[in-house]
Amino acid sequence: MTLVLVVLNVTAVVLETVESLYLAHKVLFQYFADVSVAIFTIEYILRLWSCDLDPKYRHPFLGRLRFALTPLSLIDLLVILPTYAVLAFPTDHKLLRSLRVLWTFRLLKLSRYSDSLQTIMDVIRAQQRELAMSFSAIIFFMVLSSTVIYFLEHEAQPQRFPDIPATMWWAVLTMTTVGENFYPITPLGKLVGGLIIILGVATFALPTSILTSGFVEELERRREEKEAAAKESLEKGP
Amino acid sequence: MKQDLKTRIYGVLEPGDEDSKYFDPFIMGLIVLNVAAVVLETVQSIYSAYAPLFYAFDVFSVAVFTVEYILRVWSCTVNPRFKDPVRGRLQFLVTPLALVDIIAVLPFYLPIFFLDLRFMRAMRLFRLFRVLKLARYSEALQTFVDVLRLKKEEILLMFFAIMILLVVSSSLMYEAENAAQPEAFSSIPVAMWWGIVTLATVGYGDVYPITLWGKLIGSIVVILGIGLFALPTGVLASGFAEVLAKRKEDRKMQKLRCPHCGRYIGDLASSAGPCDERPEEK
Repeated sequence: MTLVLVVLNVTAVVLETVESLYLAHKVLFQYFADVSVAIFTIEYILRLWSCDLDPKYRHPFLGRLRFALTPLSLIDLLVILPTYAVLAFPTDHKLLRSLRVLWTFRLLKLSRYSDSLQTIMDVIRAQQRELAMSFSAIIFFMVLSSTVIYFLEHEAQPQRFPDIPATMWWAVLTMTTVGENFYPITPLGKLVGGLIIILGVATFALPTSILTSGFVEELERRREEKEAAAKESLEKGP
Repeated sequence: MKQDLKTRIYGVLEPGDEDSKYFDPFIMGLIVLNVAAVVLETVQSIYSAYAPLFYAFDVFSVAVFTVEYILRVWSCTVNPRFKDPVRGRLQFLVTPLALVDIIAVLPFYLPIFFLDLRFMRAMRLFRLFRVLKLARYSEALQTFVDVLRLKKEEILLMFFAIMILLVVSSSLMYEAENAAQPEAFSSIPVAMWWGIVTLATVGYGDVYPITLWGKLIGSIVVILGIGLFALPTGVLASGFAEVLAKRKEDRKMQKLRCPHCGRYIGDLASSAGPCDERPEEK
C-alpha cells in the first residue's frame, strides 16, 4: 500500500513539472500531495514509536534517536520535511522552491521494499574500496589530461578551453565517449587527445567492470545460500 | 645520536609507518591543494581576485617540498639499498619517485635563471607533477601501477593491434576521402584523428567520410574496430579483479592464526620467523 503511494507520488512530482498538466489539475495535485504527506507522517511517527521492539533500538530514548539517524529513517524524514517547512515559512519562495528537490527523495523510500535496490546497495557496499580506488584513478587521470590539453589548446581556442575546470568537462565528455562538439584542433592537441582517448576510455570503464564482477559475485552468493538452505531442509526431512 | 636523528627522520618521511602518522596526511593534503591551485589559477576571475594568495601558497609548498626533498636525500643512507654516502645517494636520486620530487619543485626555481616568460608559462605545467608525488602514499594509485605491471604484455599487445588497425584504416580512409575533402583528410596522420575518435566511439563529428567508398570503408572499420578498442577495457578490468582478489586473500591470511603457536600468519611471514612448534611430520 505504501509502495503504491510512493510510486504514485514520484509520478506526480514528475508530471507536475509539465506546465499544461499542472495548470489543468492543480487542485488534484495539491490534494494528493497533502494526503500523501499526512500518511507518510503517520507512518514515520508509528515507525519511531514502535522501533523499540527491535532489540537494536531497545532504549526508549537513545534507541529511538539512533533509529532516527539510520539512512532509511532520515529519508523518511526528508520526504515529509518540505511540506512542514512550507507551513512554517509560508512567504519564503526561494526556500520553498529549493526544498521541492527533496520531494524526489520519495523515490528512495522504495529501497525499503525493493529487493533489487537492496542488491545494488549490497554490491556497492561490498566493492566500496575498489570503487573508491577506481574513482580516484579516474579523477587523477582526468585532472592530469585536462591540464595537458588546456596548455595545448588554450591559445588556439580560448573560447572553448578558457580554463582547466572547463577542460575537465571536455575530458569527461570524451572519456565517457559522449563526444560533444568540443575537441582539440592543434596537431599536438590531437596527438595527445588521441592518446588520452585510448587510455581514458578504459579508465572510465573501470567502475562498470568492478560493479559487473560485484553483481556476479553477489548473485552467486545468493544462489549458493539458497541451495544450502534447500539442502539443509531436505536433510532434516519431514 | 646523529645517526638516531637520521633514522627517525627517515621513518617519518617513509610513508605507512607509525612515525609518519601525522606527516603523511599533511603532505597528501598539501599535494591535493597544490593541484587544486594549479587548476583554479587558470580561471581568470578567481586568479585575478586571489593572485597574492596563490603566489604565497606556491612559495609555502615549494619550501615544504624542498625541505622534504633535501631531508630525503640526506636520510636515504639509512636504507641498506642506498648505504654508500655518495654512490648510494646518487642511486637514490635517479629512482622514479625522487625524480618526481625534483621535477615537482624545479619549475619554481628555474625562472630565476631563465627569464623567458613564455618558457615560464610552460614550466607551470610541471607543477602538476606534484600529483604524482601522491603515488607514494595512495593505495589506489599503487593498485593501478600493480595492474599495469601485471597486464603489461597483454596491454602492449593490444596497443600494437590497435595501432595497426588505426594505421591501416586511416591510410584507406585517406585514399578514399582525400580527393573529396582535402582539408579534413589532408594527410594520413590527420586521418588517424578520425580513426581514434571513431573507433573509441567518441564521435565528435568534426571529420567524417562523405564519399561512397569512404562510408563503406568507415562502416567496416567501425564494426571491426569497436571490439578491438574495447579489449584494453576488459584486460584492465580482469587485471583489477585479479589484483583485488589477491589483496583480499592477503588480508584474510593476515587474520589467520597459526594453529600451532597462535601467532598471526602475516607476522610469521614477515619478521617473527617461522613457527618453531611445528609438529613432527609423519
